[in-house]
Amino acid sequence: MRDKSVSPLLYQNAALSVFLSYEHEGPKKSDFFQFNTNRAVLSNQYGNTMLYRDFCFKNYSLYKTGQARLKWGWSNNNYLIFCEIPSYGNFNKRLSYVTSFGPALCYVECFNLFGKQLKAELPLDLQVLGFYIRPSYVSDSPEAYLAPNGNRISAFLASAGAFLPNQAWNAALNPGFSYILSSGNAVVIQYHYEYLCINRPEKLSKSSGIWTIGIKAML
Amino acid sequence: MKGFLLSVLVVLPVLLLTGCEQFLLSADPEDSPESNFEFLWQELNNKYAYFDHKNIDWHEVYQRYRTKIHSEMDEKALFEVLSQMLNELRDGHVNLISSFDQSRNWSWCLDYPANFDEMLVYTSYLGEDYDITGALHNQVIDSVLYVYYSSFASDITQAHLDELLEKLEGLKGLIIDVRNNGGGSGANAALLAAVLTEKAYIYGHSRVKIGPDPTDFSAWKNLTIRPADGKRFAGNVVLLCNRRSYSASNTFALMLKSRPNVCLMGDNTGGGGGIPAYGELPNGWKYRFSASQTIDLNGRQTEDGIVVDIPVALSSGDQAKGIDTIIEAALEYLKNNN
Repeated sequence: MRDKSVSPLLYQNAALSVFLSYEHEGPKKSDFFQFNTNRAVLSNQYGNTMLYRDFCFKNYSLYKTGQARLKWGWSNNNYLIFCEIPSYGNFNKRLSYVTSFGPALCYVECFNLFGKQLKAELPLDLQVLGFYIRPSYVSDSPEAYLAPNGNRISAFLASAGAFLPNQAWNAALNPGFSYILSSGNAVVIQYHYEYLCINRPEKLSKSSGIWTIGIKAML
Repeated sequence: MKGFLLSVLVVLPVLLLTGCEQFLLSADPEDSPESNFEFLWQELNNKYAYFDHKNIDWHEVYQRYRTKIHSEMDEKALFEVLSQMLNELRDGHVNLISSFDQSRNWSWCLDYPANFDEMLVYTSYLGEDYDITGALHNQVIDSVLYVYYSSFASDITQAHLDELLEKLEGLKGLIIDVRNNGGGSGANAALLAAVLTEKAYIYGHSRVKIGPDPTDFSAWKNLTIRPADGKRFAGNVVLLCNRRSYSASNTFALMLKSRPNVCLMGDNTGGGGGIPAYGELPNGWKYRFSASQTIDLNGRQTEDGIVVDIPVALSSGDQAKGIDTIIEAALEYLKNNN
């Protein structure tokens, strides 16, 4: 991640991630909801650190097309990113929020291999419209210095902007591979790639790739 | 209908921002003496708040210092040149911070008399039995509550203040001593000021530098103190300051300056009216600078310090006798204005 309101340098590291997903598949439409949170101590090439936390809620509504393997529809992404730079005495806590909407599609391929039922999926989405709330380099903590007895919410709300093409980008690609068990449940290995970029007030760009292995259980 | 429900739960340590995930992110900026110089100069050109007020021609500074930068210089030579350039700003809130040194400018206090002797305060006034209420060291002296607050970086709470206000009942007044208090959190200053007023008041205005022109600023924003919800004190208060009362102490003096029941005594504060913000250079060094301006109700820049109502200097003769001239003047003031 690079947040130019903090530093021109790239901050990166491994993170601890938690995923919780729910999917409902109907005859014509399928809905997918996913909550994901990540936590990490990021560092730049010189060892300076940034505490990073995010919470993401994403949902897809996909419709089956004449081509059974392809579903398309729309998606909604909600992102809350919290960063803290411990060595900065002021404005060291930075909160960014994004809500966006855009088209989504999913390519599904089911096949048998050595008598086992397998499914490959490639969901992807591109967010094109929404809003964000970003701190500038002086609009977050310590709000009390600028407005004693005020609160951070006022500074936070003052930093809202429109999520529009050319001003902000968010795209995700989640190729996955499921091994379907005889019970109908499945073991899934999936790669979640996401790119987020907000150009204002100072550019934030974030690129993450997360491998997950999980159990898909029928309810 | 052939519908079914699925859920997935995955809890795994996984990789974030590694390997091929970086391909959409541009590389780190070039780390060279020239690029670090350019980055620092440009950042301050856009964000430093006092070029206009201090009559500093930052472009002329660029011309002078750019010639001292060359690609062969080592990091200590680069640090030296960048530190000298930052010292042109004559600002205690401006620093360059590397792993081997931190540049600073202390001209706001070193060229002035100290007007404070901490040992004297402890031996002659606080004594051995003073109370430590959070960060507030306090003692009742001649029916006046004397409170020494050495750093606004040490947090105080409403419970601490309630305790002090309880002690104040029946006393002639309050002395708050922020001499040599180099600042810290403005929130602590606001918390303390909030128990000294019965109604909300505007004590100054602040604006943030938002562009490359020396006059590019946001609109002025009112700075307001609202009374505390709990106990409050409406009696006479003397605030003791010196040139080392800086940053949040300077702001605290500004908060109290316009109050009719408060008298500022001692020496003018040292300034530090801008909020310090931080940044990082391409080589990983950090820098700090004043990102905003603050003015008092008369439009005077608080970067120049807050002028006290009654100037009093610490006499060396008194000091030798174990007397703090400024505390004595404050006690006398409260006795006469009770």
